[in-house]
Amino acid sequence: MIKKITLFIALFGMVFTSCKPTNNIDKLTIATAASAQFALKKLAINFSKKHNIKVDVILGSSGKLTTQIINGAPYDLFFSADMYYPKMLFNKEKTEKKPITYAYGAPVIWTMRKDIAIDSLVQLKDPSIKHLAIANPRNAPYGRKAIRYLKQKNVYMSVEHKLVYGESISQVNEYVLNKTVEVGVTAKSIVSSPKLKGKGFFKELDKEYWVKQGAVIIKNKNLPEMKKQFLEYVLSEEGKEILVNYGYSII
Amino acid sequence: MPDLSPILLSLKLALLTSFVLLVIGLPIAYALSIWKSKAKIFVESLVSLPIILPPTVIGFYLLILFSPENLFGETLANFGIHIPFTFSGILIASLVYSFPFMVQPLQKAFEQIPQHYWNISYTLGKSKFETLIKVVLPNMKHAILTGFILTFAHTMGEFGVILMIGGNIPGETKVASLAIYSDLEALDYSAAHFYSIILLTISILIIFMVNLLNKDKKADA
Repeated sequence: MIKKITLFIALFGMVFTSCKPTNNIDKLTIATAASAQFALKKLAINFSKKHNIKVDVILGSSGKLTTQIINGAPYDLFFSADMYYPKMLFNKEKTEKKPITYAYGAPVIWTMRKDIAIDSLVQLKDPSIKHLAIANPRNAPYGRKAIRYLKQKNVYMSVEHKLVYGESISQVNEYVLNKTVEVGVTAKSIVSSPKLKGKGFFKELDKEYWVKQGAVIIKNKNLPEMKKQFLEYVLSEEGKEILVNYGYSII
Repeated sequence: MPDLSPILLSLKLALLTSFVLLVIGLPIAYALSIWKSKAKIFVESLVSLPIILPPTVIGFYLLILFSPENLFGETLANFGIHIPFTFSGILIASLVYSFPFMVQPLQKAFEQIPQHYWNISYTLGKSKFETLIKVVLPNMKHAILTGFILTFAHTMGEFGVILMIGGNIPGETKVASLAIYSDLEALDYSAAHFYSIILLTISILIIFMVNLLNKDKKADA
């Protein structure tokens, strides 16, 4: 019995010492809208190498991340898929400064199926298309644009029953990629990322549906200089080039 | 190979939850087992509530309770205590979420210990506490182990509550189940597989252990 207890305590000790909190190491935590994940991860890796600092990227829908920040989540910067949520945080005095627009993101209609002509909105009504995935419009800016697009093109009524809502744009990507749905509305920054380039077929929506992408520095005591530098890096020529490579537009 | 820290964090959370719940569960289970009152059924219902309460509801209320936007959370924050998005936060959530999995088996075991075990021990001059430690608890070691293992397993698989109050922060609240979810979000299927297979293996081992225990128990009786 004593032996067993000793063994157990030893095991317990091992688990504990193996994951000591990493709080005291310099680290930036960046909350990122799911649509910007690939570009931001690339920017984070580059920044991390340059400044020899750990940068964690946390994904979610812009709305969910905003709720978390309001509730005190320890994020240092927030890259939203729109301006609405950063403005909201600014108004609630959660940010250092006013939101900055770092790029414009285009929503795209995306499918894995060759036989679907995504240029034709009429085809969305076709019974062969059973599901159309969009990100939840209540917390995901790209979802909101998708709804507006469908409504303005007068197809919303006839496709409403086909809509499947992803928790964020990430879930839409999974659905389309696994062919769980025939068609989905995602971001150009997803389908243009090196990981997904050339997979399936996409059509970019017109300029009027593009989304202004906003970034803010969150008010907290962590590394004020580094936070500023990260934002400056994203806005630098090198940062812009990466953003463009990942499908964003800089106007 | 993917980062092992989510698995270790899950193990740490599950072990701590099981230990803390064992310590608070024993006196509560004992009190419930000897308590005779009409109000007992209400307290028992309250104890079992987390079994059927959707994890999002637990997470939502905990988030509201501890949010620095509200009085209670603000008071804590003034003392430098931050509960949401920290390890302590997911520990508190796990304690609430897994509470019945510890208390119920313990209470049943206390109730099944025949009264004469206590009585005989008293006539031999032992105190109540001594009887509890030396006679009653050893006789319910199966229930203690079962409670411990069930609590452990339930916490390992916890997702909804942690997602709401934890916020998926690496090394702090990103446990294995959340790592799978966020790897899936990032379309990193190989990492998701890696964590899933580890959790699957742990689950199989746990089920096996519980069944082995039950068999032992039958053999004992």
